[in-house]
Amino acid sequence: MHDVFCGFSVAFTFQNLIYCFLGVLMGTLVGVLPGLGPVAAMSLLFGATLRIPPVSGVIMLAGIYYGAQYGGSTTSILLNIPGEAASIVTCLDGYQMARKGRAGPALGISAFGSFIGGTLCVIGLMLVAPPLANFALRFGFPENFSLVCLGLVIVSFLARGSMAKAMMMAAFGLFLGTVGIDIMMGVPKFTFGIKSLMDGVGLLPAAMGMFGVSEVILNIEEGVKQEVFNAKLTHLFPTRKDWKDSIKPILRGTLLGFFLGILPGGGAMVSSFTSYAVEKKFSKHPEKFGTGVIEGVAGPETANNAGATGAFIPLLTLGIPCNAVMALLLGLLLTQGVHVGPLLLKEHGDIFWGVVASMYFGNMMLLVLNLPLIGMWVKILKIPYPILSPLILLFCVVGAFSLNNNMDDVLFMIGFGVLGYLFKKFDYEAAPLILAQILSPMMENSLRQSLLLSHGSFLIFFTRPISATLLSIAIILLLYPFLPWFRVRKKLEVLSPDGM
Amino acid sequence: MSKRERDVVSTLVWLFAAIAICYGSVGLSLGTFRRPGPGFFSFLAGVVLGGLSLLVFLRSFKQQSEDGKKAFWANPQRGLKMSYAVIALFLYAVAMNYIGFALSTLLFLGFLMRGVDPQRWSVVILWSIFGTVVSYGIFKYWLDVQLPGGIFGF
Repeated sequence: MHDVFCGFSVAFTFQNLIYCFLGVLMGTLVGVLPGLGPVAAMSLLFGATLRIPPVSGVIMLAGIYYGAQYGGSTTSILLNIPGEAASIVTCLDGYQMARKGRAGPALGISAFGSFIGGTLCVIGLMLVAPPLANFALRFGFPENFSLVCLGLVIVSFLARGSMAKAMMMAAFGLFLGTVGIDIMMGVPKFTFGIKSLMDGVGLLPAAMGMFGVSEVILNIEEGVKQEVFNAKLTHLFPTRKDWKDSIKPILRGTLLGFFLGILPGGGAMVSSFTSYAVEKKFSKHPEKFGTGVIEGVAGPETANNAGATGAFIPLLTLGIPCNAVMALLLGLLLTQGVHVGPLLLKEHGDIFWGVVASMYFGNMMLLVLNLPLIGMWVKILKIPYPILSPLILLFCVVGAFSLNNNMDDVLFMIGFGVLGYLFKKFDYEAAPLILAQILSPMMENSLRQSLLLSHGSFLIFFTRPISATLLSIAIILLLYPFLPWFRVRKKLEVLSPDGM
Repeated sequence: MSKRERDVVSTLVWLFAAIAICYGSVGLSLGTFRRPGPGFFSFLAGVVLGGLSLLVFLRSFKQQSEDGKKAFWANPQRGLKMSYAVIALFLYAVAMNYIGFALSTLLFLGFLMRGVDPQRWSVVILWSIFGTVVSYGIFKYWLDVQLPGGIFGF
């Protein structure tokens, strides 16, 4: 309890409240705008966070992430375009509710459900994280290697489309993570004499390129049609009947989102899709889903925010990011010299509990922002995309430059943007690549240290119980697609292009 | 391009990349299992990449030749516009160091708003100036980023 109060005292400073507010405001804006996801937005502001204390930086970036989940529902309901990947499923019933003149209750229940899910999951995080962090203190190099293996296999397993293609991206990401100076021998690897590559391939230019630039150029090529639902928004507060119909989906969405969010490759997107499927299953009238039922909005929107909160657990307790957003947060903490892993709780308890406590305030701020400011978000949505897209590209360029005042980062970002565009065209997902890139140094170090310890024997990964368990699960998941009854995954289409 | 064609083309590129990665890793020294060298891990990544590319390549021949057929560019005109945007991005990055942030940004925004998806001139001028001024203010004065001044100093 002492730690919790300590966390609140960290989060409740004027500076951190301001950064939390800025984060959730920008997150909502990013969630509202199609074409710019939280990963790209966090990358843009990464440079700014280096100039502020690490706890403030993480609070702000975290606010962008869960704020984007709130904002994404606005465009789904009013535009039938998901502002965020996790809001794709909200389009199905949310937009239909808007067409029936019930945009207000849809937006309202989405905001309230997100608030309830997010807040309850923060409590869950507070309860689960410390024992998990204690357990993870038993991890050595073999366990770390096996955990990362399992994480990458799960990300690939949950990927939309081909698992093999997702694993190819992960393998390429692992290679990209090796570029730079070798941690043990000090020799340059795959730098080709380019000074900028001595520190490795930047995670942020890669993320900005693949999630920001590529999305914009794809939208330019395909053309974005914006048809904002124009009727006046009234009755934002749900009725008693709306609450009666929504309360169980909200509670189920909270539980689902929390546990799915913990999984690598999980997070908001998987949670929202799964919640929709579950609500349809539980409903007495499943045939009405897709025609504008409030359960189809309440459950997924709660789950996506709960999933976004749950996704913090592996990062804050094990030091393993479970999606590209968490990878960026990990990057920020590492850049600030904060050792992320089971010892984060012991050595930097202020960061851990400060971030957790800030989520309470963040969720409250989002409820306040999203309901009264819906009119403002709608106005922003009406800005034509041919005007928005150049501005988004501008901020990407300047954001990349601001990292190191180096134009090479901008050129890398553009290169990754083109690569990301080609990946989308050829049905490859960027999320496994980004995750693998950030985990690669840790995985390489763990592998090499393990082999040094075992004098070259790979059996070390199977003779230690925790490592053996983790690797066994990974192997089962790898073999699962070859089982004859494996058909469900192909139909679920769970991961979005940005893997959240 | 059908899904099969896309898979064949992409996996051949990946296979080539995997071979290059393995070749480069060998050059760095793989070491031994007892003392893995700098190229050990990247070699493993290359092998996994190459193996999976081969798997997807071979699997692609099981697909029907017309499955998932779609043009690379649904609308070739828009595809060209997208290409102009990418070229403009690249030129903007290069030009910034020479002519400075402000002027290069103005020209970049103006080109995209007029050249890619043409807007009215009044809209182009207004939003280009707005975008330049706001980004300059945010990055230069709030975030204290050293934006390139170029020959004009701003």
